[in-house]
Amino acid sequence: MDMSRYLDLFVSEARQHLQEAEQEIGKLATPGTAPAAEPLNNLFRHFHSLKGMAASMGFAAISTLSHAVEDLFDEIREDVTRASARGLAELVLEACDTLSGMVQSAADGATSFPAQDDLIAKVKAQIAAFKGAGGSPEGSAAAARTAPASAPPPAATAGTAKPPERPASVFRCRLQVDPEAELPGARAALVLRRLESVGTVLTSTPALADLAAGRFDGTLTVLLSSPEPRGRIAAAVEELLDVSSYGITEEILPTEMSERKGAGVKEAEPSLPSTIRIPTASLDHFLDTLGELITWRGSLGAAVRSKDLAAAATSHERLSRAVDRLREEVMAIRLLPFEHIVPQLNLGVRALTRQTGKKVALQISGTDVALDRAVLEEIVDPLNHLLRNAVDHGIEGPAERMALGKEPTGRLTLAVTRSGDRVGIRLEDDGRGMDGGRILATAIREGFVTPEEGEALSPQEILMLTTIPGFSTAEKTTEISGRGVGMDVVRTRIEKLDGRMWFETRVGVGLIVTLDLPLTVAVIDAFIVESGGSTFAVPSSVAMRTQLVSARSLRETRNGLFLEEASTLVPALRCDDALNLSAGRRPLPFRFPVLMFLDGATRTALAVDAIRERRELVVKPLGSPLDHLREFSGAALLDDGRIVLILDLPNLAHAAAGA
Amino acid sequence: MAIRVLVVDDALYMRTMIRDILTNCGRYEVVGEASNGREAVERYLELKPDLVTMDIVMPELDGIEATREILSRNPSAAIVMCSALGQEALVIESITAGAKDFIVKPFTPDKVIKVVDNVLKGS
Repeated sequence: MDMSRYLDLFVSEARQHLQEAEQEIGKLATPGTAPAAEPLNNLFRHFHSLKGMAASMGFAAISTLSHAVEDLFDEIREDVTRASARGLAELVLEACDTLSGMVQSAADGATSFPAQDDLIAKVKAQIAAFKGAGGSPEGSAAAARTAPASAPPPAATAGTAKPPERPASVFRCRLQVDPEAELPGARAALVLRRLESVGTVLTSTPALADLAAGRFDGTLTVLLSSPEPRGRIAAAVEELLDVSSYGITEEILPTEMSERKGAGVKEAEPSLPSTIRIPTASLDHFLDTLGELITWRGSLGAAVRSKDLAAAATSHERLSRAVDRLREEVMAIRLLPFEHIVPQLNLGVRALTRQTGKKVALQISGTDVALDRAVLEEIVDPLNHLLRNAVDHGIEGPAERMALGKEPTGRLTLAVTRSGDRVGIRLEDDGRGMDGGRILATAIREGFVTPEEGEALSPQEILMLTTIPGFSTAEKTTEISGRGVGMDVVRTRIEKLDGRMWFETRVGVGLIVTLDLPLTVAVIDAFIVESGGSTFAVPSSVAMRTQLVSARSLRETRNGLFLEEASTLVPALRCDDALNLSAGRRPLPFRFPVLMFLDGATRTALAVDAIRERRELVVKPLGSPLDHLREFSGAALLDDGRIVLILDLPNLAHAAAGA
Repeated sequence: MAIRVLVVDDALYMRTMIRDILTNCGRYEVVGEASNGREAVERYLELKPDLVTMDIVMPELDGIEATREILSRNPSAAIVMCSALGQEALVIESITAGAKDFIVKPFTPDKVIKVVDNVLKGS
């Protein structure tokens, strides 16, 4: 039996439950909203399902904790006003965070987890408080001191009245709805409901949504997790009308699994789902567009064979339009709303505020801005870094803040906006801000810049000194107010995505970090160039202009290579020299092409042997270890199968200057 | 002792037909009627019947909402939806909301009795 199939399913469904639970808790915790039955029922349901799934996977600790929270919501449901009990939302969120960590451990291969006795005791104390004192949140002291294993004190029953849970098995139920039945889809829905009453439905084919849309051929297959014996489940099915036949088989799970990892519960680092759900309408669009592609390909072929240029031109134009449309449709599917990574960001900030004892209110806006999944996945770590820096180093402790006349709770806002094909993320805190003067002093002292270079730096460039590798270590030892470890990594990751970051700050008032990212990384428009005998690609978004210049306008000076343009000198570099392609280096022809780009704020010229064409490329990120090469931002395949490396011009210029 | 039923439908014709079917069976007694969802909830709370037959499309409050409200007061209420042809999605929504079974109009007496018998057998 293939456990990994169930593990993936368990992990993705567990995460979904926890995410949705978090959203529901958010609704509960909003001041001013009347507590309502629906979120409480949903929350009960989420932990109930999680308990069942975890039990069938053999994850006792996850199941026990989920069970405790399920009982908690069962208790709260009896009197909805209990939902506004003080500290309730924090307690449940703590449980969610712990469960997320355990689910992540499970995803990494752990099969046992440390018992969460303290947390369970807290939950049970809350339950006892609701049962006993009729709603007082602090609860009886006796209940709070009780560990789950010992006998319950007389005042609180804390859930020990329930019979112990039997381990759950997974059953595969295949049912056939009577073809003569009216509304067979609705019959199938009733089957699902009945099965839900004796266990937890892990998957169903078709799913409820499909049934509601009328997609049902009469056969329903359900994977059910249940502690009940097979006979009991069969009896439940027998009670249903219009089921003409059914089969229930128990899926035997191995009782032993080799323990591959230690049982430590790590902080959850969830990744994006590796499968996606797309509306079936999208698939239909693809098919339509594919049909057009086939049609116009045919016409184009015929036109070429009959040497009819006009017809070929028309077919080509139609084909191009269809390709553009297909590309848009595919790209749209790759887009995920920013909302997807919000729970992780919230979790990181919550964990850190607990650890540091600081008070921080995180507000995230623009969560429905959609980004390419690849971009989203890449920015999670950098954003977490930036948020943690804000909490750890930027925002002061409550006492210090009050002494400064600030609110004791720090404000941290993250705003996502979209402008054309770029996405902006703006992170603002009202903490200490960055002190440019002290940063520059440190940089000079540690030898990152000379005093003369320091003089020439703009305030923006001074702040960016904090992103030099090695700077943060130096800074930490001298305890200068600024940012902690990791800013160089953040910058690298952002720039690897063809993004940019910059700071704005006022000392003592706060810091704004702005990230500018592409909407998608997948396809770029690029110039294919040749230099030193090799072929490279230059993104056209970077190259502002291309032009032919004469060899005489290139000037070699002490300070480097320059291009004479009108009456100014523009810094220049030869691509082949910058990449040390000495073997293929040839003297530049009388007239040779340059691509003009911006290195920071400086116009710079890149000299190449030839510019072959301009076309679109599907970018593939360079994997390890090639991604250490800062001169390249990715690779792409040409039509003839050749691989071209995509040049990162600003980095190329820095490398050349450094050499 | 006869099983007490509340019949809900905005058409008098429908309510009469269901009443006749249930009464002729002998085991059921129609103790009340309602012509919209709002009335359905009120009468339910007054009469506390053993079973409700609920039309889906009605003015004021539809059958699905009425089902939800009744179930929120009494989670073990037995509600059977009466749907017209072509309303499968609505029936499924009702089931998700907690309805225990359904019958499709136009119905035969056997069908109705078979379904209501089955619903109450379970409880």
